[in-house]
Amino acid sequence: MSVYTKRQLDEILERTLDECRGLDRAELRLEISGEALSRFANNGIQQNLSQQDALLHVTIVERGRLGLAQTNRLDAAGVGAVVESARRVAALQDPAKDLLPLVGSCPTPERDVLDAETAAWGPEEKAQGLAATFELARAEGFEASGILTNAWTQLAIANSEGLRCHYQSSRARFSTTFHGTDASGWTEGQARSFRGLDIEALSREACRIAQAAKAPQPAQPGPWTVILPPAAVADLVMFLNWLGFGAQDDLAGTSPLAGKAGQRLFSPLFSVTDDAGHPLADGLPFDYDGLERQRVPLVEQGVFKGTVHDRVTAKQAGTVSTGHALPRPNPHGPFPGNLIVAPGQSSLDELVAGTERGLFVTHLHYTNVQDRNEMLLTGMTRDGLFLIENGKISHPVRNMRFTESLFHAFSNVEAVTRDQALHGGFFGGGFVLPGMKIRDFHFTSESGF
Amino acid sequence: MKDMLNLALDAAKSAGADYADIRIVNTRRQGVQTRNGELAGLMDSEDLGFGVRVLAGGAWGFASSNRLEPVELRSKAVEAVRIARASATLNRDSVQLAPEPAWQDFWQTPIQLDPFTISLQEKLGLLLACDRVLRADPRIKEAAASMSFLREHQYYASSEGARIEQILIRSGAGYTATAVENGEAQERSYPMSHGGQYMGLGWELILALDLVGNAERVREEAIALLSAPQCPSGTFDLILKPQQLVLQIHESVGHASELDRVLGYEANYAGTSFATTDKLGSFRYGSPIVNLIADGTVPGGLATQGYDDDGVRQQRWPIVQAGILKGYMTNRELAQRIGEERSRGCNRAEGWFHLPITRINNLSLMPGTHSWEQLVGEVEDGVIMDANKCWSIDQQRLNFQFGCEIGWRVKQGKVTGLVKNPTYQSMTPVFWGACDAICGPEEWKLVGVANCGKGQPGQTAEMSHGSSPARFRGIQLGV
Repeated sequence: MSVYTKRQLDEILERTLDECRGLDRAELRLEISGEALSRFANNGIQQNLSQQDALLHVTIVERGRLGLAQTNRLDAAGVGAVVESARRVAALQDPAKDLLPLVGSCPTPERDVLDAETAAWGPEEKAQGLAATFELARAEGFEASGILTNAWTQLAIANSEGLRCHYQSSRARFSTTFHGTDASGWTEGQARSFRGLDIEALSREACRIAQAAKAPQPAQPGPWTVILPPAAVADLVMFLNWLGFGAQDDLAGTSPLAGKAGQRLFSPLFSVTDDAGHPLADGLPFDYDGLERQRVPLVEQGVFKGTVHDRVTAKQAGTVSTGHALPRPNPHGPFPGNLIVAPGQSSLDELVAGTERGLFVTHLHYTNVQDRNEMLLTGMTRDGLFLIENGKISHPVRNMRFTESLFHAFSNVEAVTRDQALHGGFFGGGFVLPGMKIRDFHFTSESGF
Repeated sequence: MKDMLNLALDAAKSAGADYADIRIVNTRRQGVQTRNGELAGLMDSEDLGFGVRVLAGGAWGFASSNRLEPVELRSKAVEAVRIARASATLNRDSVQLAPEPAWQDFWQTPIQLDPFTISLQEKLGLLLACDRVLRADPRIKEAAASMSFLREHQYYASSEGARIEQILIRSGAGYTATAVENGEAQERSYPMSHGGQYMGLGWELILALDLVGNAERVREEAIALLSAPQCPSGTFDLILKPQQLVLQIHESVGHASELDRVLGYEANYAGTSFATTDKLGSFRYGSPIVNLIADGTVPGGLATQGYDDDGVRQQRWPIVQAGILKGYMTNRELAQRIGEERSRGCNRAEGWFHLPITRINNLSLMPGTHSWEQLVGEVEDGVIMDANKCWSIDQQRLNFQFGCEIGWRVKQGKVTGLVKNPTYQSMTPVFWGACDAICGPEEWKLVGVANCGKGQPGQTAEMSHGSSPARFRGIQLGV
């Protein structure tokens, strides 16, 4: 896989802007991405791949009419064709209303958090890294499945007013499930560099959980105190973000948090900020308009502070953009990209030790929104659910389905861990999260396994 | 094109591949979205690239690139072999492919009107006409409408001699109205939720949907839900219409019957399946009237095509027959693991970029004999539900809890009114075992799933599920 140099990216952008000369204006977005992923199951590599793609998005205005097109052909013919395509689209449009002025310069035009060695990490080295995982699984009677991947992304945006912004990052990720006849254990780790991944330690942890999860016993659905490590918190935070932190839904009144800014909605232990500059986030420092992404407090000690904005929603709300525009036009409006949930004072072990009776949830599966008005979610536990009695893990429990409101869950946060980790939910995202202890978390049915 | 296909295959073989195939895919996409009377999305894209897949040392390697140039074709073929050899260092089992004739063929989605010949103005005008009707009442705070079209031109060649060219065309459209009052929001969609109805058809699908003609009803239903009573909780009879059955079939039968899941290939992410191979031919999946047929040839199906990405010709076969588990979604790698001599043709990739993986084919619940009037008339105390809103199912596809946009209360055989926020929860074989009546073929509809996500890295596939309204006795509603 080959990472483009900044000069190569700029040459493509300048060549495209040249093609756009004479038009009212032009905005370009160039995305280059590569990933090499080894996917394993049953203690063998089942899929092993290397992928690379590029996307050039062109937005033009010609005689007041908006045209958009995109291509993955970056040669001269491809660039010429995509500009022509955008012009053909524009020719069919009515003159655009309320076009925003282009941003001419960006105060934070660059972030480079790409580790070149990680981008170039080869399949042989990754196979060597997985050998110990498979040996451990075989020795302990489990089947290991999972992924070991290295990926990188480059983003450059430019416009005819002189804006030039660059961002590039890398990510190495290892995730594994150890499976037995009646038990499984899961772990995940990710870092900017593959050197930040301890594959053997993560494999040992998945193995430990799977061992401990053998012979699970049924538990009664109902309200339980739960200990959620960061990976389990991820699914809840992902939906809080999606339902509540975008300004467009807030202004339309369709958000469950609409009209509630300034109200204490959650526990004083619960605070959320969007912060692209957090060292674990490696976030994009500018938005798709070229504005600097601000650090935005969204929930402070349980009080909902408001949403992020782009220039459109900011004008409607009588405020200023927080630098959270998505590529325009889009049906979603602005959204946070790097949520950070504030840490607390405890360790995960201390949360368990301080629980008389509860459930320890390794992570959640296939969570979804049942009623957006109540922020009511439903989902499953998986890969290790354990009963806590008198401050200790007592025995494994069969998986259960939860049905719980985020208003209720984040109001009932009793303690938060001081350690944070980066995790995504089942449907994606990447959030910096602590672990949590939450009381009266509602489980509503059993899985039977 | 032939030269490029051969160049990559030759390079792979020279590098030591025992088997190689290449897919060159050129995709055109066009999409238009509106929100509250304004353009909210406009996409016109072209995407070209190739993926080379090889077997070397009994293991897979795959490399793809957007640069369709001779140097890159050779380079990626060699890289795929290098990756396969790395895989082989750890693998104890060698991949064996089920035999398939080396087809040389051309196949194209049959359409009446090419959607790419319809102007963007006409497309945008149709969506805005829907928007105006939807927002005629001020309680509708958000009206979102969209349509999109895809033309995928595929060239497939394998080292076994297959040469297949296909042009797949898919079209779809839909809208959602969200009514808000007193801090509560309720939404209704047409022709279905999750973006609308998508099929392997052309512009004729959009015309047949009568989008504008249905907008007033959708608006009024969204508003009526604001004041409708909550769906009751407890054990009731449940009637599902095709817009919800599509999701029920997809999640509780479709994914559960993907053989890669069954064999543990998805264990770390999407999960496994309770429908293990020891159950094949004997496990009671549903009641004796439940027949679910996979069919890669059904007209208009989103998965309907001539051949899959293994070069296997499309087929029709039972997954559940008279309530018994009878088959799986298979590919050439896995078919022999259940003693089948030939793949069922379910290996598909999203574009050129991704590696083909086992996907749900078109999968449909076969019609029964009831009329709609009989289906409802035989319910003493129940609820009808339609249009999926919430879906969640466990990693073995057993415990599910689904919610719909709209419900109708049924008492003593009569529909008595709307209910809002309807949900139901059950276990897959218990639920299908409770199916005691299915409407006849006159009520049967094929509904598309245009956004089925699977795999790591994630990729999207499309498929369709047909059904007639069906009744399920004694189901847990609400929570």
